[in-house]
Amino acid sequence: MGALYEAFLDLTATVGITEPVLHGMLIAAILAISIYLTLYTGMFTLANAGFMAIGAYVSVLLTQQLGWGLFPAILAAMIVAGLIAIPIGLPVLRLSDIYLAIATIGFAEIVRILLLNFDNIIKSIIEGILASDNEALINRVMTFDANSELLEIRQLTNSVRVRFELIEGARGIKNIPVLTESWMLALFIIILILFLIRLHRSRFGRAMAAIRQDETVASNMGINVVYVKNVVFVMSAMIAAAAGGFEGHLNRIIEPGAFGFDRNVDILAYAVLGGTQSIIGPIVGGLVLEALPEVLREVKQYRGLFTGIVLLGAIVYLPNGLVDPAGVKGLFGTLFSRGKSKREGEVDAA
Amino acid sequence: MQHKGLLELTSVSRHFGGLAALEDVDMLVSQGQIVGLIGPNGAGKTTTINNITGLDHPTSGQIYFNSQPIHKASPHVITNMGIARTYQNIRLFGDMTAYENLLIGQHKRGEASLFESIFMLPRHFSQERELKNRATELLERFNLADVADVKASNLPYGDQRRLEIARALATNPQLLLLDEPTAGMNPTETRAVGEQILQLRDEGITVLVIEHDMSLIHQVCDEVYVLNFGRMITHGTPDEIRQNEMVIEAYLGTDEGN
Amino acid sequence: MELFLQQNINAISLGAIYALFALGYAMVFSILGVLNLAHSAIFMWGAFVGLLALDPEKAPLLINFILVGTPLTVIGMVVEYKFIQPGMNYTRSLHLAIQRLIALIIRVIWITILALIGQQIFIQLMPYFPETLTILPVVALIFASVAGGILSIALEFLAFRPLRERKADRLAQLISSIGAALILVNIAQFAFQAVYGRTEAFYPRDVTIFGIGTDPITLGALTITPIRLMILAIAIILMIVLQFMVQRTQVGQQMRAVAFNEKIASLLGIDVSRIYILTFFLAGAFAGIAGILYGMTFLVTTPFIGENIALIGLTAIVLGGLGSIQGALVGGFLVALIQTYSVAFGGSSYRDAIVFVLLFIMLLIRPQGLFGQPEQKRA
Repeated sequence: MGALYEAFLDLTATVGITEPVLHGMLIAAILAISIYLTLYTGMFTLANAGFMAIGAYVSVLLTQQLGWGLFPAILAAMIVAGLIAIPIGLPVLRLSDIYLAIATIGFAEIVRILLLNFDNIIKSIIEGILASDNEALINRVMTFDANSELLEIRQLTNSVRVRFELIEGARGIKNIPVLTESWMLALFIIILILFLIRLHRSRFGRAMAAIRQDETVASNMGINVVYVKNVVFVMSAMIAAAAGGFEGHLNRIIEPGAFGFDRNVDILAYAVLGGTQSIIGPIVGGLVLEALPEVLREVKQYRGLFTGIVLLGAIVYLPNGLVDPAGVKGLFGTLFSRGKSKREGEVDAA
Repeated sequence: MQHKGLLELTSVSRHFGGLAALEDVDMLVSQGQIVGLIGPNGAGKTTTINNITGLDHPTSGQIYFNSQPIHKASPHVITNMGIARTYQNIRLFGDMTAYENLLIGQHKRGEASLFESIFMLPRHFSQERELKNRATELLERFNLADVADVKASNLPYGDQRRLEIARALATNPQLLLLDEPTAGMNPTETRAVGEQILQLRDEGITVLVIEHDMSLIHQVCDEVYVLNFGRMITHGTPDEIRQNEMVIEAYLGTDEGN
Repeated sequence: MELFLQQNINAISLGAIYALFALGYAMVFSILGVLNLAHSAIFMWGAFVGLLALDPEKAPLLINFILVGTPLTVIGMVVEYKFIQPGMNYTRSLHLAIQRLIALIIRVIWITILALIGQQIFIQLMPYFPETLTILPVVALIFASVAGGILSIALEFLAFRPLRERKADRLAQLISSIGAALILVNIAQFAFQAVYGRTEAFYPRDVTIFGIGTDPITLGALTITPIRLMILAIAIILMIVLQFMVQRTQVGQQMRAVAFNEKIASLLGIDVSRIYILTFFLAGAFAGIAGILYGMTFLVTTPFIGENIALIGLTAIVLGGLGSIQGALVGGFLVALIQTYSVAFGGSSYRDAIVFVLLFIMLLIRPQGLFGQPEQKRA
């Protein structure tokens, strides 16, 4: 198996896709799936980068400080992100299209700024605790040592010690164990795809499609629109968090800048380029957008420009994206065609 | 407090800033009736239906369905209680086929949870089969069997209207609200719709129909309510209404009714 | 007390710039119904162009570029609309996406050809142009606003019009503007590198507009930089002019009609397309001036100043109400005040976060802002 993988890498390396690039592509695919879910339900939310950040930081905290394994850490990060998504989603998802977009952009930026300042935040919390009269709490935070390189919180009652090695200025974290491997990412993607296929064929999936088509009528069909939207938002947040967790363990450092508005735009571009008519669309979009700058080496330095042109070009000229099932069906006849799934009521979101 | 009838509106008003779309409206629909709601354009008929189905909420007044207050409830809750509606300008799920529209209509009947669907547990499959059967049944009943796989937006007008009604039926309602179901139809088609409404009553469904076409009103309605400028000016049997002076005056100057 | 007053003065002049910027946002939203997220990139270009115009060495470049570029752009637009249409059927039997890709490639090719021709022309012409034309900051202001206006019109033709013509929803147009913004910012990065050798440039410290310069005047314990007052004055004058135009002229009336309902306006004989172009031009001009004024206030310009102001502008118009011009004004000043106070009392690292939190809260409690109308659900 390992030899097969090596051979595969050698092959792709000839076009410029080395292993780090492959990792980037797979993570892009996961992020694309996270935004696919919300877009399929007709929600234009750009909060995925924010949840990705949460996923990255929480999972790193668990692996680096508490010695957890990667999978449990990511699972926990997904749960945390999901929990955070609930109070965010409830008020925000009531808003309609552009207001929703603005609100979610704002959320992602707030997360980024909070992370940029997280050492200050922790410092303030600790100072607050030390200044209070709460004996129990003070005992747990016996000493702390915060300069710009090291943030250490020690607990003397048991041997848990939290110690972040920070990157000065960028407020990132360094010396993160490299734990992610390609097979994990590929496996996760396959699991997600299977999940999505089942989702499409379920009552819930039909409800998602109905909401996208016409939210008012969907509610008149007995669909609890608020519930469905929130569940989808939470799912999307969890998947984005997983992507963040995986990415966090790839490069030994994470920094808040990687999770800003630009990231959100990249994720959006995956979905716009690939199209949101089918599951494959955003995945293809993600893979292509990550691969192209590597394959066409001249494009690489113009990465930002390239993404902008792709976004603008795709939305104007390829409104259904690259992967357009109506067109593909005409040419081939795929797994996702109507004939096979008639026995279970799969439904097109269009 | 026990409320009479299936659907009862008590002093319902809906104000938009200074504009009164509905003012002090009372209405009573009993189980098994077919009730008509008529009035000139802009009288507030669709607003009334929107308030009943939860798309809009009264500024004051109450609405009771089966003795339960519904004037503050969300649309999906009201549908689950047994009220379904069609729309004045057809609002089908255009990119989905007729069959798929009927599947969605049955949303509240589905019992398999998401978990069961994802892990392909048996209840999912038995459920889906039931839904499929019911959808096929409805397609046949409304003469849509041969266009089952056509996208709803590509269907001819008459088929679309019928599909709207079929989809509303798919939600298994006790009360069906039809908003101008015969708009744009010729007398033969109108008569056919009337027959279908009567048949629905035979099946135990109560119907409230908004209409401009008086022949349909006469064909099916037991009782007719008349709205004008947001107020309910009178109600009675179709014959009584036809001779009522206020009603005639309300329609004077417009080309509605006959 | 003095600190309070000092902060207020800073806040107000900053607020004027924000208000100018937000006005453009609000104009486009109220008349076209779309949120143009590339507006902030135009702001940044305004600052850049303004800086070029103020610099004795670079200014001639700019003039040449404009004198040559403008006719070329016009020719290009004519070619575009006569010969190349989006969605044209190139080959019936091909997959629709491929057809559209071809349309895109053709467009890119002719734009590149035009750019190359333009470059050649002005390299040839450059030695012949006098170098003394600019330098006057007022001229620089005009340049910045005109550049902003033209860029904005280009956006309308490239990013918004094609989508409007195929009846795309406003989210698609939003996404399109995000793409355009990215392109503009990246091109600016290259431009900065080319002209200055790094992605940062400084406005001259001694800019004087009509003789009013940067020498601080001290009134008691207050220090006022007169140029800031000048900037404030310019901004206010512009807003008054805009208000006059919108309320009293026929064109303004037409704009208001289109904002109210585009269909009715066109039925009344108003050339809606022309109004759209005018709106974009005005919005862009305002953004451009806001940019150069910002540069004069803060003295540093980078390709990224648009990003800072983008969220500020967004917050300003959400606060004021998305469709409302007065709202944008009020919103701009409000945000400036809040920013200044949060820096004075809380420290600058949270300054942006506070603005976003405000945005968030506003959207949740009152999405229509202070002056806007709530959107109704219809059945």
